[in-house]
Amino acid sequence: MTGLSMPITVILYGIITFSVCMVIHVIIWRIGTPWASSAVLLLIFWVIPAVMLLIIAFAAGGARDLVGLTSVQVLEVLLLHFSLSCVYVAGYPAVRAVSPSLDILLMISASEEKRMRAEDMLQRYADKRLVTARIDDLLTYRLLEKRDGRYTLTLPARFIARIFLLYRRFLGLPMGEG
Amino acid sequence: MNDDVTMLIILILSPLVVLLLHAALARLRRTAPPQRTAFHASLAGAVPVFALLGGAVFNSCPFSTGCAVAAAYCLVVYSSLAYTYFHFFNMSETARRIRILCEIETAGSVSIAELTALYKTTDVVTIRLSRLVALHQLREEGGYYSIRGRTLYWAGWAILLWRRILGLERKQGA
Repeated sequence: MTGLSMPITVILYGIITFSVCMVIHVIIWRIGTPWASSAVLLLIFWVIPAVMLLIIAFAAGGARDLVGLTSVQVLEVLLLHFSLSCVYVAGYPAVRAVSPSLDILLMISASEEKRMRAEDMLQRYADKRLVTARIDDLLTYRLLEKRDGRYTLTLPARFIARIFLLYRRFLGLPMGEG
Repeated sequence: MNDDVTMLIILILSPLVVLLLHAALARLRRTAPPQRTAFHASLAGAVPVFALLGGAVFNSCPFSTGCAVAAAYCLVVYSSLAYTYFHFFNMSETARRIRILCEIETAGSVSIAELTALYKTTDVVTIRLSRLVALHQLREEGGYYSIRGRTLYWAGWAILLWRRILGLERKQGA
């Protein structure tokens, strides 16, 4: 068993892969935010790079020779890209729908006295549909169905909800307050 | 097993280590702000993960550039995955959509009136104010809230800037 020795090109290719995905993401979003933006984001950052790198790792020997990496090193590139992508994808919901927590901080900072009462903040949010706007999102993504005036979860949504409920139970915590 | 493969397996499984640590810490520190506990678990997870990497992979690694590159690689990948874990927990704790999905899953079905009664706009704001005070990002004095810590404040500015780069600011109010 030989000692681990990683060429710097693994890190470089990982960063380059992530950067190329980011540029594609910015270009597409500036042209027009896709309807199912989260799904397109996953396609750009996860699906397409994973397919391409797995093909290079296991099938395209010529491509591996071109970049000077072994199959395992290509997998290392994939893991680096994937981990960097996870950071961005995890943070994207806060970019897409402005987080009320961050908005509150910016609101206070922008106020004349640099301080505000809760009632003043609530007034600003009165017409912002903080909850109903998210219900609309869930309907758009087909995670909610409305029937006879009542909302139910679709199958994918039930799966998501159960994952989170199970997760919180595993941690010994009640459901998040939202 | 090849050292590269061992390293990859340890790194891929590292979020599981953080999860187990988090489950233990969450039970030991019930009064601490949940996000702080999750953050500490993400940091503390580095200890067993890097101990495992040191014992299983780096102990046979000669002191060389290749070894240093591998160590830097592990640091970047672990940090990214641990940060992603923290974000996943934060989503379970603070995301409105997740709360809505979980409420409906628990109830079976809800009307809009039932849902907005369970989870009002006032709740969204007051919950966040309490949370920001607990995380030392806001200070509350005599009913007035002012900025205390700057971490989330600067995160807010960075997100605003990024929304402008993506062209989201010009399109919305959502």
